Amino acid sequence: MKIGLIGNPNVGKSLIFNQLTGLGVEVSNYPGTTIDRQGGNTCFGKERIEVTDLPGIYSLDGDSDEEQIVRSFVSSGRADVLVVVLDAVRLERNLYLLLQVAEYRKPMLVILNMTDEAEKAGILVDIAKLSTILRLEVIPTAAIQGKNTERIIPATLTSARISTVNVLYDHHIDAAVRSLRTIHPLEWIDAVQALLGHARDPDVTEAAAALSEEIERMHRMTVEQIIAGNRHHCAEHIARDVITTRSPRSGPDIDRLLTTRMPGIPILVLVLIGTLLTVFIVGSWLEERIVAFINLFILQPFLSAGFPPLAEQLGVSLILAIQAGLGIAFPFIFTFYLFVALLEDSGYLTRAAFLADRTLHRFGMHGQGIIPMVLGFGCNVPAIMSIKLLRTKRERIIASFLVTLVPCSARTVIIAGLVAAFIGLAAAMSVYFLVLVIIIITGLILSRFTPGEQYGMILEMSPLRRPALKNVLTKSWMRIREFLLVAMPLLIVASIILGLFQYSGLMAAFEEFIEPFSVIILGLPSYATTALIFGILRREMALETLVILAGTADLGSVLTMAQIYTFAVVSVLFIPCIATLAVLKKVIGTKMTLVVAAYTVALGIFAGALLNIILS
Amino acid sequence: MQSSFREDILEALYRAGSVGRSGTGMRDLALLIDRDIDDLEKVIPEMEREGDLVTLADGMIMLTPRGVETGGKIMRKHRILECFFSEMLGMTPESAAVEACTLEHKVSDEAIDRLGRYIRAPERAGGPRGMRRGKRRRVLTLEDASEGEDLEVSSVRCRGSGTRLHDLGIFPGTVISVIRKIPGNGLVVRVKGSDIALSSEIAASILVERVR
Repeated sequence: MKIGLIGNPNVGKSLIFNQLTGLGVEVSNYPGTTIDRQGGNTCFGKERIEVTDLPGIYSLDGDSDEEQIVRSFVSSGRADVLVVVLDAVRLERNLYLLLQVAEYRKPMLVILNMTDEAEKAGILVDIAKLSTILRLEVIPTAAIQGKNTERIIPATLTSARISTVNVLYDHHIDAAVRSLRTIHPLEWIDAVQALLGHARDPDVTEAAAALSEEIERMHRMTVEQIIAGNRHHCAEHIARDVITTRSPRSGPDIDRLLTTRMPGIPILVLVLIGTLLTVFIVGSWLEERIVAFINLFILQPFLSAGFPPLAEQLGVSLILAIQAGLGIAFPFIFTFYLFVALLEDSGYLTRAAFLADRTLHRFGMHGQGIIPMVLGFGCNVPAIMSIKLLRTKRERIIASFLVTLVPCSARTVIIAGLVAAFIGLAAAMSVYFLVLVIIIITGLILSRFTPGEQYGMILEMSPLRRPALKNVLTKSWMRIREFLLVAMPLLIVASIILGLFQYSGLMAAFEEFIEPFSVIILGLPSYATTALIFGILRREMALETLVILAGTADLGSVLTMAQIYTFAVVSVLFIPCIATLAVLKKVIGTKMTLVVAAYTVALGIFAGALLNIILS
Repeated sequence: MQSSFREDILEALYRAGSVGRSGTGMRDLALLIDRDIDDLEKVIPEMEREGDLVTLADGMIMLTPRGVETGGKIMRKHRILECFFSEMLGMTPESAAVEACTLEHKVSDEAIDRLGRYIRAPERAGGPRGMRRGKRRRVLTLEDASEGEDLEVSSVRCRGSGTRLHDLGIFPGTVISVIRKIPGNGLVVRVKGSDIALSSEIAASILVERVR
């Protein structure tokens, strides 16, 4: 048996999905966390149940990617039961989508989620009455507390029904649907879809277009508007029948503080800089201890054991790789993920988007663009994925350029591990400042020259919530696990291969080849440039490779301060890592990805050359 | 025909009087209204009998108080029409004057009163009849609204993202309230229980009416 979870953005579908399947898809408190379909299985009795988590949508009729994914899922009949998740706080708007789903006449089940928050807001929903009106089973849940979610799977097996609720459509729409169905053998829902311009058969499309035009002339409203109006009207009536409101429990209006210019904007700046500084300070402190620990208890004893040269080289490579990996993963990446998860779950990101709207307009985006930018500080990969939240190609292209420039936690590692450690905190901050200036200039230029249209922001504010510690930790752990499982082995293998190259003299040959470019243009020793190139695999590997190739973690003894600074800036700007390039390709296509890559390479080399001239 | 001829005479005499001439001779009057002196000589005694004007001993013609009143009314109609045609419809002053000369005799007092009000303040004209559902409302865009106001959406002119607004419930007839506004930056509206942040340019494309 197959079921699909459908609902508005940010109603808790993914949270319910996780509870049903025991899987861990990402759950956050901003609309649009789930961008693609996610599948998982669960068992009940002897039945194997396949659960699909779908991206959140406001309507089944739109043209956005998410809407098309859900529409094709619903109309294909891939699911035996459609589980519609409603937000009890915003019931009326959620019913609008439910009414659309009901028109497909598939067995359905209704979950009324967030009953806990509704109660706090003074909203009481009469479950029995709602169930009678919709002629569907309605299960009230509070997924965040895991309340009642265990009832969902049994109910899909026993009480899923086809709803007979009907929206009362304008008689012209009804007439058009009837006349379409007399000429073409269409289901009722297909005829409505045809009027909205979603027919597959060109003959039907043509006939429907003629009818739509006629209706538009009569009403001076588009068919979409009329149909949306009728559905809203129906939803409003149902909501009015089942909701009783009390005055909400009042508390301090935190939202007001966060979304007014004063003190909202200082808070926004403080949150961003504070996150960066905390990660920096906590990260450096932890890193120092981890590196020292491994040096003292593993590396030193190993070196003093006196193995044959080849074994020693390989052993040192392995230890350095583990040292670099652990020294980076937990102190920096994990701390960063914790903060980003806190921001995601608190609902603050949508407030930040509102505040930043005007500023981001100058860069050819709008407020929503701040979500990928902030996520980008953690890792560029999920940040690029979230660019899909932006609706036009123009905004996506601009955001792609800017996000790939945002220093992710791996680049923070380089800035902290090199610049802060060997030059000082102020110099490290100046790298961020430099990157910020480059982002601003890039944005200003792109907004001028990128073709395409720009729409403003239409963004639902997610409710402010105290982040659940468990979700924050699980999410950060899931993300860091990806690092440990994918990056660490890569790091170890690369490190051992590098060790072998060094041992066999291949590395020396390559360095000789790259030496002129490296020394003349960037003013860096050739092994540093080799390290930069390794940064393409994973960004922090530039630093790790540098350590391995330099043969010492005390880089201050082999490089000048100018060289360290140049190396850090180039590696921060240089071509995005392979994983980022792969998602970029998915979001903006191969051609634009190559342009972004070329731009960052040029930018890195140019900045490096410039710094070389200025600093030497 | 006859009456419009008489009205022209009264208007011409009113005009002459208003520039300070105490009386107008038959010949001058004929020139002013561009008619034959023979026609005038037939009508003037008739009008004198009705009490609109008097012929003085030296042959000069003057308006009686009753004539002044009628002449003034016609003059006003002429002015308002002329102003409407030239200022508001953009006709040349010459053709506006010609048009006004023809229409001033036919137009009703009520129409002229309303037209006069309209010219003074086009947006407030129309009086109670033009207002929707009998309430006093003014159409404005959501961007002009201020924080804390309750508004009814009257239309959404947004291209492209209009459907998204409809799906969120921002739709003609819905009552929304502005819960936050940063001028020039955008606003947050509460609609159907959820808070939606909108950029200024989106807000500018949503027409609303104040709800009282």
